[in-house]
Amino acid sequence: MLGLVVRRLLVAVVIAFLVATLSFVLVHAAPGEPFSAFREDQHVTAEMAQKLREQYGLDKPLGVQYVRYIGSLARGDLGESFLQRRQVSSVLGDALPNSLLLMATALVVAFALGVALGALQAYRRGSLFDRTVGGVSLTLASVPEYLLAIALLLAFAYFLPIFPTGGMSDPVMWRFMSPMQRLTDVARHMALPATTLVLIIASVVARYQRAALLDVLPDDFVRTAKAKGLSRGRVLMHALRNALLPTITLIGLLFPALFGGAVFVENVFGWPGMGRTIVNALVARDYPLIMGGVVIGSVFVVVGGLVADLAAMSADPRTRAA
Amino acid sequence: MHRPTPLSFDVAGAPLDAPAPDVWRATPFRALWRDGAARAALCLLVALMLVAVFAPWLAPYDPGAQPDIIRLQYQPPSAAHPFGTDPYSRDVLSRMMYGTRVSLSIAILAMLLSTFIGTAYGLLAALGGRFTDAMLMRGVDTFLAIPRILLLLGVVALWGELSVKALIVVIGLSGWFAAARLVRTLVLGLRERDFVTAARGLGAHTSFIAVRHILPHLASPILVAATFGVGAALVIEAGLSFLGFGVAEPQASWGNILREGQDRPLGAWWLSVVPGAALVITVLAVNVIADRLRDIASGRHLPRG
Repeated sequence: MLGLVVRRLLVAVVIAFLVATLSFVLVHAAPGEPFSAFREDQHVTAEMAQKLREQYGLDKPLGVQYVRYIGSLARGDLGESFLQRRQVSSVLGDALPNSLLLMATALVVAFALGVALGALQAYRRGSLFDRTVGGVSLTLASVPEYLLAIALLLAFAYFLPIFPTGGMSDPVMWRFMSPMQRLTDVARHMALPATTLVLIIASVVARYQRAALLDVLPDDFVRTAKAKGLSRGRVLMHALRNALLPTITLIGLLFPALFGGAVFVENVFGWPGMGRTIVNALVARDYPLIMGGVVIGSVFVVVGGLVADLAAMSADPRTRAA
Repeated sequence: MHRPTPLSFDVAGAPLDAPAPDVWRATPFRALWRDGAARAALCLLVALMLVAVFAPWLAPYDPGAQPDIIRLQYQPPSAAHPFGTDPYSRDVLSRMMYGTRVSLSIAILAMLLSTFIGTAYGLLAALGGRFTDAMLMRGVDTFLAIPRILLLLGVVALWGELSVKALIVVIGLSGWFAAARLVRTLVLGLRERDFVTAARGLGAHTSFIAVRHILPHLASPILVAATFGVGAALVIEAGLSFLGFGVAEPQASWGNILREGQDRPLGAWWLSVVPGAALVITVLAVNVIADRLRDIASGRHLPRG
């Protein structure tokens, strides 16, 4: 088990390195350069542009820039954002917790909801409930995040103004709030973006959970449990534990989708997270911030997959013993 | 935005003398046709393709015409403009029809590209030896670690406005990683089977075995994955256009029209509702077909009512 963890960690490091290389190649192969916008600005002379380029090391050969970039990356230094004049790590350090809060909340709620719905569906297979939830979840799994986000925004922020339209906290009242009020304020702002993600992820999880449980139900151990005279509910719980494994693994596979969904949801709701930061950086051609965002986002995905795999292993008595 | 869907194919467990699952035979399609939801979905997709092909004849207006940008902008749906007009006074119905062309062709062509690459890559990884396999799969792991939309946004935003052709290539190139993994896993199971050993014993070359003996067994899983891939590509294209990095104006695509509705979500609701509904219904139809195809392919197909 420990060997496996170490091996997976090594693979994760290799992938992070490859992602860093890839994002470097991508950014530098693209036409245009970060200060191209200044060329139209009459106040920026050629010397000033040249000086800026020197200041950020953009006048060095690409190979030198690459080695420098990887070297500082290994020390945890992501460089300085062109636009914000701040360390990339501090810009992302502000954005990442917000994204993590949103995604973690959505993931936990969606997992619980999805597993419960999927299990109930399998328990009452073929019933009206099963078919309704199945239809709804297939539909939701086909709805792009941005559409669902807009629909929820229109419904619960415009027509029924229950929730704020965007942002993470009330910009005016925030200073006068007690800690408790601040908590509710953030929760109110998070309700709609989190619901968007929850609905979509829960529908994917429910579809998996139902299929996984139906795969397990014909197994011998379920028949044994039934033969011992356990109630249907107890038998279900018995089977559920085994059927949970593929779903936990699925969570790991869902991280890229979760992150991708958050990019859209954050942009629709103005949530100050990684997704919005990266899209803004793309528009501004802020190279270090783009690269940093992609690398950190991918590391997050890899670590998420690793954690999900470890969770699946510790939930499975067969691999735990090994 | 790849959302994993349950893809289970028990290829290795199939009986030895079973013929290769051939989706092109009539039976699976007959089973698909018998399913009410799948039949409705198929009809819808055929209708959409007809709209796409015959858009120039069906569209009531020129999709780019701006008859009166002041007085005819943001016209709500009426007899003259069933889906209203956009901020430039263009007819939304006509733009939707031409947009169907763009959106559907991007989705289908991108899917074909990624299916082709994914299949070839997966075959190469599984049959190319242990070292090749390890190298190739680390590459796939890398790309899978980057959320697809981020990869695409990076390419599209940095390269500036892309033509439709370039968009197809870029979306196709970003969508084959999961397919490659699926194909590799299936081939790893298949290559240990007796018929492969037999072919090898008869002196068949690996590439010959791959194409003649292994590929036919992959037909139905690939078909299912490719069908899901069309839905994913549709969503991705519309998402890119929605964020302003996709199909460039004045060309219409569903995501483009959706973006125009963002300025006035309440005042001009039809600009969000019409393309949004088209997108959801189409992706749902594609996913229903893929879902049923998978049930049929894995033998879990049960006639329902």
